[in-house]
Amino acid sequence: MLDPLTDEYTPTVGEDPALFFTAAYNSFSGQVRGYLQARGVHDPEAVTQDVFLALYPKIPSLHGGLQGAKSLLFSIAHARLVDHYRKREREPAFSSFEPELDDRRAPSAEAQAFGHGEGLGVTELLAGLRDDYREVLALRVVADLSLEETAAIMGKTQGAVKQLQRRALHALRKCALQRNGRS
Amino acid sequence: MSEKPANGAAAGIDRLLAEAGLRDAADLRGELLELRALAEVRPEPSAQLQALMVPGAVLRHAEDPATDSTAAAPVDELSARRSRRRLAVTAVAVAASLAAGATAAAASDGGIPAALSHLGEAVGTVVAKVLPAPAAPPAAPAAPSFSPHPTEAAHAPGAAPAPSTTATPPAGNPAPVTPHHSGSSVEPRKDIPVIPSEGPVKVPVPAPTAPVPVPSPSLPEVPAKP
Repeated sequence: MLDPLTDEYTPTVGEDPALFFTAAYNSFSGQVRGYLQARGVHDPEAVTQDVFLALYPKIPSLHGGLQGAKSLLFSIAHARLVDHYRKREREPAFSSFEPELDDRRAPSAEAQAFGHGEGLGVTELLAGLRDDYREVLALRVVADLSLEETAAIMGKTQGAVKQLQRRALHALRKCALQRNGRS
Repeated sequence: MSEKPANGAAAGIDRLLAEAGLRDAADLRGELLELRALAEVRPEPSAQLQALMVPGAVLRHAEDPATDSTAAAPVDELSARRSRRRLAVTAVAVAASLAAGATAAAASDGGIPAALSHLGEAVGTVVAKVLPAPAAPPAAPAAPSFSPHPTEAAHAPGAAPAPSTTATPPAGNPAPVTPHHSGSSVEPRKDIPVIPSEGPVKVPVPAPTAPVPVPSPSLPEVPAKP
């Protein structure tokens, strides 16, 4: 798993845009995709590609190296997400059938024996939370952004974000307890 | 690479829980670790993205290219073997269908006796084409000289003998177009006078199939000269 572009070697912006872009993709594409999936985007991989395509022209004016690229990436992803929800309000909802996302199923005996449902149980939990709770948890946990970066992306103060994440965690715990009590 | 981010993720989640005053929430910690695992799936870049990246360093999933390259070799070998076998089966099938078609056409013209003789000829042609096929490349200069062209189309590598058959008629005596039962290639040149003795037996054989009808009438005249 040698990955010099992500771990040991961190290229600077002015060195080579293609190299920097490759390093950014290898480092953050999984987090961007996970963030979009946690927020309930239907096709998170396609939106991830769009986010990185939007990043490329902005590389020359980027500051802060890979960490700056990460903040910018999630700003773009957040904006795409807002667009996605606005667009979905205007359009009729259509969704493809994915068996693992079907909530009419029952967990297998093996899954019950291990105490958890399938791996997507946590996204179901998130779906039951308020939108700003989901956003702060996705940015802080999945994207692994700092308090400052999260505050900048959400357009709030750090204190507001801190308060919001505390409430979100309590709400998530409550949902988890309800689910475990039900199953 | 797997241990370091896992530890980092656990530390980050512990810090988050401590900030929220939920330091002892072990159940919530498990949920958050599960949520964090969503970030571990790295999507494959599209072609448009790959065009913007450094070609060699696009995705270093490390195991994937290695396993692919090792797995590719046996698959190629197997497919090559299959295609070779498929080619042979196809050649035989095409030859048989052409022979059957020729037999049907002959049956419509000459009646049942002619059909039977043509059927025998067709079977002989197919057998003669199938059996010497592996030995065709070394025997190419010997020019076994098979006249029927229906099987010639299905026998692509054996295209070399075909010109030799066309080359023999200008040599003077077109008689050497011997029937297929005499698979030996030595006879035609030396035994020109002898051929007519066998000729009457097999006269109907070359007459319909040979493209040039000249040989069959000229056969009886050859022995008359000496």
